[in-house]
Amino acid sequence: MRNKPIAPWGRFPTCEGVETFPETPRAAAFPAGRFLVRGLARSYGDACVQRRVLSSRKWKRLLAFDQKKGLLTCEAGLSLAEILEYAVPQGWFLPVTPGTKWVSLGGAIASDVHGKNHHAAGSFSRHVAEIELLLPSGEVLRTSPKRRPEVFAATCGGMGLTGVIRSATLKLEKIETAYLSQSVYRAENLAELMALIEARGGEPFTVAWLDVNASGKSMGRGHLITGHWASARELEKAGIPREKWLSVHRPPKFKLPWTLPNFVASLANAVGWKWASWVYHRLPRKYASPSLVHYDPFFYPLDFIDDWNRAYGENGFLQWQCVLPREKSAEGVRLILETCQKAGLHSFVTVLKLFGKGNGYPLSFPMEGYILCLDFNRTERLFPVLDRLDEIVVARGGRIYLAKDARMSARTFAKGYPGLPAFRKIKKALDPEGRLASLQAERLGLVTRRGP
Amino acid sequence: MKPTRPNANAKRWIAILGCESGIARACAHRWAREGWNLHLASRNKEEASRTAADLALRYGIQAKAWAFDAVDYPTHAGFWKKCAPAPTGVLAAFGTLGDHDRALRDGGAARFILDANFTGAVSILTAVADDFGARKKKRASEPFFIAAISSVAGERGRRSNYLYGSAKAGLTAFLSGLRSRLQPAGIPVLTVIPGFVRTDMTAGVALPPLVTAEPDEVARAIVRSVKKRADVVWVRPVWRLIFLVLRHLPESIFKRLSF
Ligand SMILES: Cc1cc2nc3c(=O)[nH]c(=O)nc-3n(C[C@H](O)[C@H](O)[C@H](O)COP(=O)(O)OP(=O)(O)OC[C@H]3O[C@@H](n4cnc5c(N)ncnc54)[C@H](O)[C@@H]3O)c2cc1C
Ligand SMILES: NC(=O)c1ccc[n+]([C@@H]2O[C@H](COP(=O)([O-])OP(=O)(O)OC[C@H]3O[C@@H](n4cnc5c(N)ncnc54)[C@H](OP(=O)(O)O)[C@@H]3O)[C@@H](O)[C@H]2O)c1
Repeated sequence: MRNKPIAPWGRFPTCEGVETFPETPRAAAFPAGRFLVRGLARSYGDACVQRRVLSSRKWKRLLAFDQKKGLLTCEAGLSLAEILEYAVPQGWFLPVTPGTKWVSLGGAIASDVHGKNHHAAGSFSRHVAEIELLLPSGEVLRTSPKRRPEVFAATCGGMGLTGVIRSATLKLEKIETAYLSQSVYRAENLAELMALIEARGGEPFTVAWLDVNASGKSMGRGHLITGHWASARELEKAGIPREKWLSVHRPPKFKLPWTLPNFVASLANAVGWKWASWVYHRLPRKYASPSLVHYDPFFYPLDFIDDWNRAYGENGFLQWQCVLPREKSAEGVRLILETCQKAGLHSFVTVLKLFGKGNGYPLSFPMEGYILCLDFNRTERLFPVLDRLDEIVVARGGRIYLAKDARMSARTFAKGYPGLPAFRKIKKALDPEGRLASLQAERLGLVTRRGP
Repeated sequence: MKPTRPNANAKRWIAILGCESGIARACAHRWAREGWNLHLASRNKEEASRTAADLALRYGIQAKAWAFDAVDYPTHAGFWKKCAPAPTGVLAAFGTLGDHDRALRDGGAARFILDANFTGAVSILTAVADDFGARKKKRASEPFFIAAISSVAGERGRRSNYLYGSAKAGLTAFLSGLRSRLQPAGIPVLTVIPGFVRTDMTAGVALPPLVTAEPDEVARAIVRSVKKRADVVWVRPVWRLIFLVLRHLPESIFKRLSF
């Protein structure tokens, strides 16, 4: 079998390797020796990169649906988009969703993803009732918060290192309509923005977009977007026709046919980051009344372009996402923004959000406090700056998100994730030979560099 | 996702033998979308039940899972009798490429290639043909059909896979005879002749993209050909041309080709 480039969403790092696409999740299809299972490769960095990759893309069977309780059991390769296509017309939605619907169920569990409702609903795994795990030995293990809880905890957020998730049962959320009632608020600086976020914490969905370019008194200014599910009455009042009330998203409108050449991408980026300021100034200071928006633009604003990662050019890009303990957040976020500005780094999309309590699972990212998410074109001078940002975060008891990471040090990782020793123990028990590993796991010392 | 139009097939069942094959699975989706109910038979009944659950949930049809082994002939008649409600269509999709080099050394492995692709099909499809023939007499308007997947490999024996090739050649000849036998009864027999298809069978093989079909492409051809009561269908059709040439190469030249 010929080698092909194996790339993550950020297109860095890549390696040459083989990805296989078996029809069903079964041990007979496991590659020999060391390998990684992956879904839609929406991880930004090497969390989804390895020389031998077992893809879950064809594992799309629905196995059971309890219409009364909203319990959906399906195979791990089903995308969140496909789950929505099945569930929304019947009045159900994902209890937690990341910022794109093109992730697989397995990937959502393995990264224990979070959404705009983390403060209210926790992370993805809170709504997972059961997981069917296929161990490297071929053994099938069922685990739930009650059954083998230590395996469940290590698998949610476990980055595919505890076993191959074959199927899972997800508790969906009942919705009356597919629309949200959205409000937007503007804040003139970081303190105001954080105060707004805290004040609007009663809304189920909240997220803030920052203007990274503003400095001095305006540093950290931005917009807060909040929302809650709209009722049928609200839609009726607004004159939205009944057949649209439970309508499903449409396929992407655009597709980037090629990867942009690097010089075009860096040019675009050099100007592009200014859009945040531009948008900031165009949006009104006060918004009259909430508006009704469909879930697709509300949760997945970037999904209308397919493969938008190609816009960043051949060199690719990096995303850096941290969480800081709540009491250290204001000062930490300010310091991070200052550090970026001093270094002349501009993030294209910058997100700030307040998390609720974490679940204590060893590698699960969320903990109570603010997350900050930045993204950058890959340049050489970027790396030392990100190292400094890491220091700011771990010195304050925070951590970096593995699903976005492509370069943190093993030390930063160990400091950020105190559950690491517990995770190692379970890894050893479930995968004694260390067969399951990403390049990230090798880099962070979760397994030995050389596989079996 | 569930069929919305009035469903003419609501009481009809198709049996898919070797239902976990990539091609069979794609056919199952297409038939289920058209409202057919399905008997899904595989050596691995647990996998078949997962596929059955999926099809039932997605399309609101009925689907049943069965254990079926193509090389376990004595069980065939019993299996077919148990298969209720009685199907009016059957697709035999099972088959195996086997390990040709091993089979040259190991008689058992060679036998298995012949049995899983040919003898097994003869055994089960003969039972099916007897049953369909008898039932057709009582229900003349019912659209019975038999379809089976052979291969271009059966068109001429090649050095690299002639065991598989000869089994498929046998299957193609068998189907041609069966078609003739069932012609007076008005039951069509479809021979499906795919070239390369991207499924588990060909995983790990570098396939030339221009002549390689996706499983769903084959499924579309099968479902359409069954509707048209066609005799033979090639997927992709260009293979028919390729083999028109290959078949007419003189043996003195062909025997020197190492593919
Ligand atoms: C535009 C965009 C927006 C995003 N927004 C958010 C967000 O708001 N919140 C958030 O939390 N994340 C977000 N992400 C990150 C994304 O949700 C995660 O990276 C997710 O894990 C990707 O799923 P995937 O199917 O692509 O998994 P992959 O990238 O293919 O794999 C991710 C990890 O999951 C493991 N894995 C995959 N399938 C299985 C399986 N069957 N069994 C065991 N392990 C498996 C892999 O080994 C790997 O470690 C975003 C990503 C993008 C591109
Ligand atoms: N792929 C190609 O390029 C290609 C080309 C031409 C023709 N074909 C033919 O197309 C058909 C479908 O193959 P595919 O490509 O879809 O490959 P596949 O996914 O490998 O399917 C083959 C199926 O045959 C089943 N099978 C094998 N031996 C069996 C037995 N003794 N009893 C019952 N079932 C048995 C297997 O069942 P298990 O799940 O139990 O293993 C498997 O599901 C085969 O007849 C094949 O010869 C394929």
